[in-house]
Amino acid sequence: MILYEFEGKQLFKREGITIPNSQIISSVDNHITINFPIIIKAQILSGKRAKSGLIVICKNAAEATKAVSELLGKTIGGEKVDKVLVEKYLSDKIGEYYLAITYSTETKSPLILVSKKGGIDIEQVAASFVSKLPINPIMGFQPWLARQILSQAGFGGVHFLLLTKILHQLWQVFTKYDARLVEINPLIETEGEEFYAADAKIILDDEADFRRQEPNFPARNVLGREPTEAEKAAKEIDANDHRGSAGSTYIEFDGDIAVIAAGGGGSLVNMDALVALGRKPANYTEHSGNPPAEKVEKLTKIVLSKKGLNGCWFVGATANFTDIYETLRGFVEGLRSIKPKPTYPIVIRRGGPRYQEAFEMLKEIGEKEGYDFHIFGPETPMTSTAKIIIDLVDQYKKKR
Amino acid sequence: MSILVDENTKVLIQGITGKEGTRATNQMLSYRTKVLAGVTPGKGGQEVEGVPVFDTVEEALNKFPEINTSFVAVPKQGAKDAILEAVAHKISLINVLTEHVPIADTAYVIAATLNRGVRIVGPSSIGVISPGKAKLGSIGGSEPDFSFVQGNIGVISKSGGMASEVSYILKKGGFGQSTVVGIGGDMIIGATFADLMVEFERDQETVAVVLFGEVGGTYEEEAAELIRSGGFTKPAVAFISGIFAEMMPTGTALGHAGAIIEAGKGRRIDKIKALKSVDVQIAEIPDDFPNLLKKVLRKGR
Repeated sequence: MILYEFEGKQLFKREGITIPNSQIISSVDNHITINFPIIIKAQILSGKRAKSGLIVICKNAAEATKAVSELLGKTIGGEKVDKVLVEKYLSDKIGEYYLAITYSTETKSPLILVSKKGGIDIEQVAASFVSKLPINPIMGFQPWLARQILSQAGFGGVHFLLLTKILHQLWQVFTKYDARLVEINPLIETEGEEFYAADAKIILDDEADFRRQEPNFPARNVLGREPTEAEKAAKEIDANDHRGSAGSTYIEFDGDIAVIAAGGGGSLVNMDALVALGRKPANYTEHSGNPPAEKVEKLTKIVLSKKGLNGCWFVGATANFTDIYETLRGFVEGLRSIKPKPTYPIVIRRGGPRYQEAFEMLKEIGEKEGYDFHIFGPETPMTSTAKIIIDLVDQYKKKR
Repeated sequence: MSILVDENTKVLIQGITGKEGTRATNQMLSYRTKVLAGVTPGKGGQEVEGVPVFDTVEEALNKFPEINTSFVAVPKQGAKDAILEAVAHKISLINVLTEHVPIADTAYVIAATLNRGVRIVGPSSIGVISPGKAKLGSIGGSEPDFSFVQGNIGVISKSGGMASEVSYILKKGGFGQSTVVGIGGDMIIGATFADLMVEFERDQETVAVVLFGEVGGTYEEEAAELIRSGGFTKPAVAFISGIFAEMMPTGTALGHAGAIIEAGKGRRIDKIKALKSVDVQIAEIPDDFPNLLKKVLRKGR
């Protein structure tokens, strides 16, 4: 989960990292209590706020009122601003630094990053100006490690002590809250040798939600838009039933081919095949780990209730242990509940335990109840069924 | 020959009494893999499919000192503890099935294996199979012969489902497999493509390897580096998924945590470029693998 700046700063504050005096505002009627000059920042999840004009420095109340009313309610890349953070503007800054901790696949460990050249252009700062040091998680954070990387980054003297403390606090945030990324950019140094985390970027590890005591941050969309009702409903399927997985990821697009894919890896291979042929799906979703029929039924209902569909693609590789009869039984039950009855082509490609039994059932039901099933087993390359569904959908649209 | 598992593999199942553990035990036994013991704390004295259950790894090893492999199927809350118990007892191969392990736990247990002669495969690994010899985990389900046949192609896959699918495609195309390894799609994993390619390089039976990669991380790039440095000299072919995943906004977790695109690193195009630069043939779809293999093996002769 990506945290908003103000949420990240709550965690910083808890671990002793100093942040500028601040208040959160969600209405133009909120009274600003911070002394001017102030900096007003839209709270959205995507980055590059400064470059998008979402960070405004104000010297007086008139400017502040104008900025707040302009920022609140604004929509950027699908994200609506419903909160702004008002902070004391640090006009006596003498340095802007970059501190971060994240995981590296190269060292398979946490990695500390430090640069003397923090600020909005950190991504453009030459790699040689960002020092990196892996941390063995068993050894954990040690002051000498901090000194070593600070020295590499060109810090010295009094900075050793002061920045070591902040790196340690940042490490506390990283480990205590199971973060995948903690970043301060910039860390501002003022004339009085004081340091302020002027921004906060934190990504929490969703897999560790079970042991994170607090705080609980409200669910948020990662799509740059509000989740649709169907997307929310799909999430519920797994929330109440831990047998296998169905619908934990369900994302709607504006295409007309409904997709019910199987397996994390396989589903992505199939989606690649579909989009490589220039088509957009109506949705992406996957099920895996042998979900019971009821879960697949619920997911099918959600997927096929979408308006404007011209085809359905139920696709997966040869399953290792998912009971194909069960999942396709769930699919058929879901399909039967759709009114009016779908007349569009339905392409099914699957293999694995009991798939032949499942195919016999499908054939019988297809003939008896009049569904336009096109059934393929492991002998047909799974990705080749992308072309098959596309062609069938095009024929179907022409006929209508 | 083969890598990681064979007739001499003697397995301990941690979490044997759970649903996943029991299923894997059942399937491994029916593939004639030697499953000697299981561990579930508090359930010592019981049996699963005739395999004795112990409370601790120590007790299991006292009774069966020949155990050389552990298959971990405990829930994610207990995965770190279980893996550390196996590492402490220096079980040389630890294959972790558990999915959704917190990244901090994975990094911790990997650090614990350093200089101990212990290798972790996983987490989120569907298993390892050396066809005709032995298998770990649920790879290939209850009918592994459907997808796998003994041969001389090594397969390494981030995706568990695709490990079987790719093997089936190879089988249909006339290629058997020496060993197939599901390394898992998490951001941080134990054995990587490169680690296993080093093993396949040594394995006389293996003539080429197939890599199934995904966007995210740097393990495909690491594989390319290994080839460049001469650490792997056999032909290799690869498929990298991710055209669709890369259309998604940053931070969206799809089915595989590893398929998250972070900070513009590890993009599909980066991986393909790195692999192509060391003459790895890239498959457009997994079904191209047999033809590509025929091509590279002809060239090699």
